[in-house]
Amino acid sequence: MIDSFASSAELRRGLTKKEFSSVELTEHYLTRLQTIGRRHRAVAEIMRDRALSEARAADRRIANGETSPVLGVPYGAKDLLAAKGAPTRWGSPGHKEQTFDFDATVIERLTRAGAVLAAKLSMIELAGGGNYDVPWASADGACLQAHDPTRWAGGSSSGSGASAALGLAGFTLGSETSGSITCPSAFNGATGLRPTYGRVSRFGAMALCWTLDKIGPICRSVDDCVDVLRVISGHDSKDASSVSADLDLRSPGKLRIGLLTERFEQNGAAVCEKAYQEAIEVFKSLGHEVVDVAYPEMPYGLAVGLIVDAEGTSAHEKFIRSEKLAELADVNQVAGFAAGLEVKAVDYLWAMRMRTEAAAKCAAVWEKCDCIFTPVFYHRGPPADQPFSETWRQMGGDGGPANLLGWPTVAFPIGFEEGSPLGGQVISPAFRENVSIAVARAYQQVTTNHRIRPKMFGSP
Amino acid sequence: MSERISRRSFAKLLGVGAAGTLIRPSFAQDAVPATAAKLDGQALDLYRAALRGNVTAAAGRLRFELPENSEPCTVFAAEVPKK
Repeated sequence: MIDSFASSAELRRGLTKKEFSSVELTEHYLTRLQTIGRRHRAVAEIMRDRALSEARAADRRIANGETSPVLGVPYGAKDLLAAKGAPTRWGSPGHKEQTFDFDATVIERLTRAGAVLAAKLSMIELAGGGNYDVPWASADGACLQAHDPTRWAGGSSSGSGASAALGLAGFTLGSETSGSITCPSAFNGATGLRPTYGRVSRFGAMALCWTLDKIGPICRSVDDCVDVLRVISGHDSKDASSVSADLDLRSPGKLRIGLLTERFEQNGAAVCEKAYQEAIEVFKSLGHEVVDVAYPEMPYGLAVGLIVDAEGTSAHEKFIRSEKLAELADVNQVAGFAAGLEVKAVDYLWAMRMRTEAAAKCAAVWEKCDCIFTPVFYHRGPPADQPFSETWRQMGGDGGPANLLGWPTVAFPIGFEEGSPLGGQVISPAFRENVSIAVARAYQQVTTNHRIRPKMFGSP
Repeated sequence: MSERISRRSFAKLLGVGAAGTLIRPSFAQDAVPATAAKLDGQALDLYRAALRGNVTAAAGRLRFELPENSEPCTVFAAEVPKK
């Protein structure tokens, strides 16, 4: 009997004990992707032939006594990652014929470690760089949340968040420029790890912003994320921004967890406040200290917006200047990308100078704390059938320098609002993923929010 | 759009013409109008609103003063920790 929601460690155990083969496990997840995944619009392309071929190879390796954290485990990858054997549409109706004859480095590394690529997962078209305003800004339509299918699964790694929470694969890959891993993790009750910028190769991934894009796992627990990160991280000669910093995952011991000034009351977020306070009590019970901190007052969001506009428009300029631009699913994206052509070099360079300034000033935050805990958003995901301009109210969100400065974070479920998940995140200094991981892991060891399955599947 | 017009006016003032050496004709005359011209009613309205947003962002950034002659961040935002 295969448990669709099993952790990667449990799947590994089942495979090595021959409770099921990788082929059987792959068939199991392929069926779920085809049925539940299609219903939730979480799937861009099912890769049956490649998956079964890789699963057969994994079974041979398991029989030979090989081990790896992901050997024989089926996964789904955001459709922004190049993969042989299927189209790579970047979620865009204007790229429906696009294919690549190579694998992105992260996929190549997972293949080498014996993971099984089962599907490309749906995403917001071109990762939403043109300022999308509707949940259905995707070639695959509005991806529906795992726990409440009337609500949006978040973006831009929509299918990755939904698939992890729906038990459609052993794990998934997403990417983030500014919120695209944390948002779908929070809305679906999944656990997402956004690595430090440069920790994971971007080669073969669609560029939205060369200086902001990060690729990371979205799974059902932080332990699963760590298993994936171990495989995909490390220097890659094909990506000039990738670094060879050691992935030190040793536990950092007792920590000072920084708390920002939150605006729960102003945002009508009593439910989130309760979940947030309960999480803090858990951290304290685990021996951590909490301290008040504040980011230096700087226009981080404005800088990120200008960088996304300038780099995203440049990365996709050929497409934007073509007739295909009009094929995008959201007219706001059509207009936004076209207007991005008008961003001035002096504005972009201001944002990059701001970034230098922010890096220097924000370092002081880490003298007061080891990490920062904050809600991803103050409320659950919005309805899937209405524009955000009508529904995105009082959502809050980090708003700080984390993405601008390439800081890592782990986003994980901390509670529920009317049946839909609420996410918190632990942000750490660059290359200190172990701090975020340690806090989230300890939290998940003594709580059950990450184990709560969507209602249609019952309790574990 | 406003930037294109102002650049063209600037070029005329200097007597080099819109297709002069100060600006690349493909960007200043053809490409931007063509991109905007192919937008239909709603897209065009949103495009104009987005342009106004660009102007607002540009104005907003000037309210935050940066040190004179400070340098832009180039490729790497994150610093590798010292051992």
